[in-house]
Amino acid sequence: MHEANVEGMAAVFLVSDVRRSAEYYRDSLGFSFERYWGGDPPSFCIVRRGVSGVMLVHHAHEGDEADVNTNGEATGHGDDWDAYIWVDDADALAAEVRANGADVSRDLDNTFYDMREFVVKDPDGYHICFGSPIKREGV
Amino acid sequence: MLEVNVERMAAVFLVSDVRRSAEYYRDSLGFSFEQYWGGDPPSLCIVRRGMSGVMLMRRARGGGGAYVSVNGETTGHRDDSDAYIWVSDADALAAEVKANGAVVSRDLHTTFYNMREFSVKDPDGYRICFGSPLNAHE
Repeated sequence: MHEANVEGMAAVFLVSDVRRSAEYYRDSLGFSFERYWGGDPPSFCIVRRGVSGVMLVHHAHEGDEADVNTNGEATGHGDDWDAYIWVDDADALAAEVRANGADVSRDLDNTFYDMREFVVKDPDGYHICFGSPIKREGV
Repeated sequence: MLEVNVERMAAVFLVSDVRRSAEYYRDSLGFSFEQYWGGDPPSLCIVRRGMSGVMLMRRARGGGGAYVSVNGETTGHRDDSDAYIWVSDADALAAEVKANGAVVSRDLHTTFYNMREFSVKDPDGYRICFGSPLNAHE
């Protein structure tokens, strides 16, 4: 039997406004999407950047606001991550998304586990950490 | 300016027992991991399969236990997914993980949007849906 190959991945985020979120991921974070699903307002959209993605799902109970399920709200640590994306150049990406209006909740820093990281927050408060390995000279 | 390349991704799941979850992802779902972080019991482990992964994070809550934030519990639709992983052959993967004791919460089926999909449930109830495009099977 041949090995099943992994080709892409998406985290699934419950969001309050699919269109607002999709536009933020597109305009500020450099993701793209093909279409909305589920009427107007839409209930679903897949945004992707390379092999990474987010499925934006709107789910409302009758008469209530839409469900949102960020890790930071669950734990009380508001900046807990909801997804982590490894990139080849965190510095370049940070410059790019900042120029495009992304909400950077933790600025670029070097971690004790030798990653160069920064964190962005989306309109519902989901936090995505982007990181690249620190390249050490002479290693 | 050079285009920044995305190399891989992980969803972050709050779990009640990092070791139990990591072993399930390894033994039943074919993921691998390098190490535990944060003492004993561990508070973090990164499991990965190819470019997909899950960060298993334990956040203790006052009074014992740990936080869990499954989408299906928030919405009341237990089958709601927490992550989606595109694969080259969902049928082959389903056979593989079933043989390895994975809890298949929704069996292989063909969707109206032309995907071949199945879902597995992890020890805390997180649902991962695996799918491959139908035309890959033609």
